[in-house]
Amino acid sequence: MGSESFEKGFSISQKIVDIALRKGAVDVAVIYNEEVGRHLRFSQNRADIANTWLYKRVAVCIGKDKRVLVVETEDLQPESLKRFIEESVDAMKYLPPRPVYAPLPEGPFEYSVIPSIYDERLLTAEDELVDVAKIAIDSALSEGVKRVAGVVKSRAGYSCLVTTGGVNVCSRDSQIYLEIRAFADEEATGHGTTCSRSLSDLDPERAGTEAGRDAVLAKNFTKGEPGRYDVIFGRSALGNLIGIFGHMASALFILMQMSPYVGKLNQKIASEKVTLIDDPLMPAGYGSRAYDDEGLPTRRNVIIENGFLKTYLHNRLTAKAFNAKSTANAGWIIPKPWYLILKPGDAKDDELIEEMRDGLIVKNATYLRFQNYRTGDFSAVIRDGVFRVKNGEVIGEVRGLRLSDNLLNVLSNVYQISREAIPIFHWWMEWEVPVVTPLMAVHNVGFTSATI
Amino acid sequence: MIPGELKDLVEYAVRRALGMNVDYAEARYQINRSTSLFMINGNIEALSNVSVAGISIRVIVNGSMGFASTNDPKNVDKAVESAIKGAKACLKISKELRLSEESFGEASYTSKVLKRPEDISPEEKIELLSSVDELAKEKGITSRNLSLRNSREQVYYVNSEGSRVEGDVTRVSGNATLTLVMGAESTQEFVEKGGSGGWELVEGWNFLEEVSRIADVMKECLEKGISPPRGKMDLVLGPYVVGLMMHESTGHPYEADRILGREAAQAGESFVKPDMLGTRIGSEVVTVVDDPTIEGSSGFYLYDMEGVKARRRILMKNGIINEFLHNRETAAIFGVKSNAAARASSYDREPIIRMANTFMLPGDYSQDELIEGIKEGVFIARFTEWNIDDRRYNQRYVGSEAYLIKDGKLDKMVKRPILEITTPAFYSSIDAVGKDLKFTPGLCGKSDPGQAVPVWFGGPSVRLRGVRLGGI
Repeated sequence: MGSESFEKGFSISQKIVDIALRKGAVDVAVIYNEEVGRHLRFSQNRADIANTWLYKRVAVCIGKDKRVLVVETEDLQPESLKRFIEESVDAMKYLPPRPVYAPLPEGPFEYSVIPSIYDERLLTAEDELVDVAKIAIDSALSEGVKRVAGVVKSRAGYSCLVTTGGVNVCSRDSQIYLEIRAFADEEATGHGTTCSRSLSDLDPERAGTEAGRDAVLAKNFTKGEPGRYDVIFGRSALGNLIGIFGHMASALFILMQMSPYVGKLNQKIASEKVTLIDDPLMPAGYGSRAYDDEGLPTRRNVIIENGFLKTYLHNRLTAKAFNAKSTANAGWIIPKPWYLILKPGDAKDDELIEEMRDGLIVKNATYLRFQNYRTGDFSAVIRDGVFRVKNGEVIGEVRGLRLSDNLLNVLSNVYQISREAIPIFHWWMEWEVPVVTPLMAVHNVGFTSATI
Repeated sequence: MIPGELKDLVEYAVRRALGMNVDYAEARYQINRSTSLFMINGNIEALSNVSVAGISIRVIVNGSMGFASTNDPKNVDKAVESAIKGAKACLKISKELRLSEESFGEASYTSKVLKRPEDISPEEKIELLSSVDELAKEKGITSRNLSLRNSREQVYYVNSEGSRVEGDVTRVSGNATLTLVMGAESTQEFVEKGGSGGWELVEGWNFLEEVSRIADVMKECLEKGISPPRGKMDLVLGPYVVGLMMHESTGHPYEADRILGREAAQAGESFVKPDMLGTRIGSEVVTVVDDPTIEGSSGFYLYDMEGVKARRRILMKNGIINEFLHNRETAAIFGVKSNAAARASSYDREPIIRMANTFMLPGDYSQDELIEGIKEGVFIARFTEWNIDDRRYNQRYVGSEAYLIKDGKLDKMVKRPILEITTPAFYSSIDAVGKDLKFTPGLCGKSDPGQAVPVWFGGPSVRLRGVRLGGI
């Protein structure tokens, strides 16, 4: 995948733009992506399967007469690609025009060069993935657990974006992450994760050790009593929660009444301790990227500042609907955050625990489901270490509780944030945006339980 | 049908792998095409056409498994080599897995399609969405998010043990997300339609009638709903609720890969252990099956993605754990035959154990008879929020359409009753099963990388004795 590959990406993308323009399209954006993905699954301390994916694919957004079409295809044979695009554009004539439409941003633009987001070694890393898994497995087992399961997953390649707005840009990037879950017994579990742009920045030993240590600590347990507790959320839990805090600012979700942030722009929605930033320009950031899907240069957006909701996230279409400017978060249909940062506080991790009189540490929160997206009422399954803290000491795990509260309540009741922020990405982050997070302490969080 | 040159490519991939001294090889060409329309508050947001197609190869080398895929036919050799290289790289920590012995042959199957959805004009599809939107708007629904999708999955599968299977399944689905805001209060509901077949299914959906009824229910709930009672009581759960419970608390924990820990890092494991076959977990009136062979169902297939012929699986029989869901890897470990539960959502995904259409077999009671048998309790017809822990033991369902039961009759609506219950307690508390079996379509997500496959959730109404409605 040398520089000749960029030429191929530009060439295919430009051909698609030309096909669409000949069919009467006005706005066309094409993303060409070529990459190698690798993946190792393991369970019971042994490998299950090694996966390799060789991808060349295209996604196209077409605007014509205030109508919008999105096409994705992996059939890149010239004739079938041409036919697919042409037939798709032909179908647009049946669509009613959108009441709100905006053209693609007019470039060309200058883009930031984000350092350290590509590691060529991840193109050919079959053996290295096994080595990474083995380090994590051994680290967890050395803490005294019985068994572990997890994945190591990498991707490396390049993407090109060509638009009728004068954008012609290609960039390489790579990612690798490891997720591991350790079992000290049937229900005593711990979770660890590490993610980076390069093989050398990955820390499988830390992830394995954390998973193993928490699993062993969770062996000593009591049944949890439902009620309200002060909580310190661990980073795996916050990976999920912060992804939702960020995505709920997507302007399309506001239009759809699918967010508790509806009507709350510039209002206080969180504790003054909370500042949430979308920062796609962070060097070596796991979610960093220089441009959005419409070609705008990405930028650092402060979503929540000292508790106040400062902006919704926009693409060109939602920006027009809100009489705002795009925040460079396109998503052709759904605006989305790229790399969410919870601004760190001053305390050390340990100090949060030491200062807690009576409460819980919730290490991981999964399977989060809303009762009502507009109100933010939700519940989530908590696991991988739900520890009771009394007078600053962890006294053991509590089991059988379910996190059950409201998103705005959680944000409003934050009372402390630690200072060590770590990149997090794992399977249960269902909104699929990586985050950088310290620990977060919250007053008066609700928990329910099955009583039979 | 998959074009001949692509079938040749599949045959070639298997031969090529066997020529490189693997113990087992299979290859699959899979095309997944879909067209979707999205409407927000009466306006078409976008039309989406997606075509995902390519070839995958899976090999076993000395008990180590490798998988690779490519969407470029010129890259097949590289994919074969990558699969083998991956398998060999794992040898130092591999499980020494093997596959169950099965009988294979040549077969093909298709879903029954009377009117191809691709031939239906976008105008007609938009007309349907517009009529649903207008009706919901007339009913006062504040926000309407609607979608309509048709898809086609074509597969050609070959393995080194003599299997050649060609499948072609067309599906249609429709969804509505409705939000009603009244003053400071709001409520949300989801309506799902779907199955395998053509546009004739859409014509039989009664989408409008269902949205109309649910819009009325939402209004009544906000205007007249009272706080739910708490504590121990009898319940009736409607088919919509029971269907999802069958999927979540019988289907998933009976997946043999979860039981063996293969999903432990992601979706989780299971409270069910291998030695629990034959153990009573529910009352005698409960029998739960999973059946991919139901014509017209979302989970329809006749051969799985390992070439094994599909059949009905009786997971729980009269309250006793009867059978797990297997692919060939787990079947070999349990010393049984595969029951054809291996599915793959697209060409670039390994086949893993999945449900198809999971449901409780119906009983003899009408819903009215179930309700008549309760002096004081609650009937939960529909739910919004739900989740279940990763051992599939402790689950929660929050009712969206629910009513008090007084002296055997439905009374006032109640808002958001919370049923939080363990799996054995749920199945043991059922004393009567209705005859009103109904199915709801859905997508089941599992594994890393994620695979979403279409399924049906099915259930009749059931009556539960002495369970607790809770909350904080």
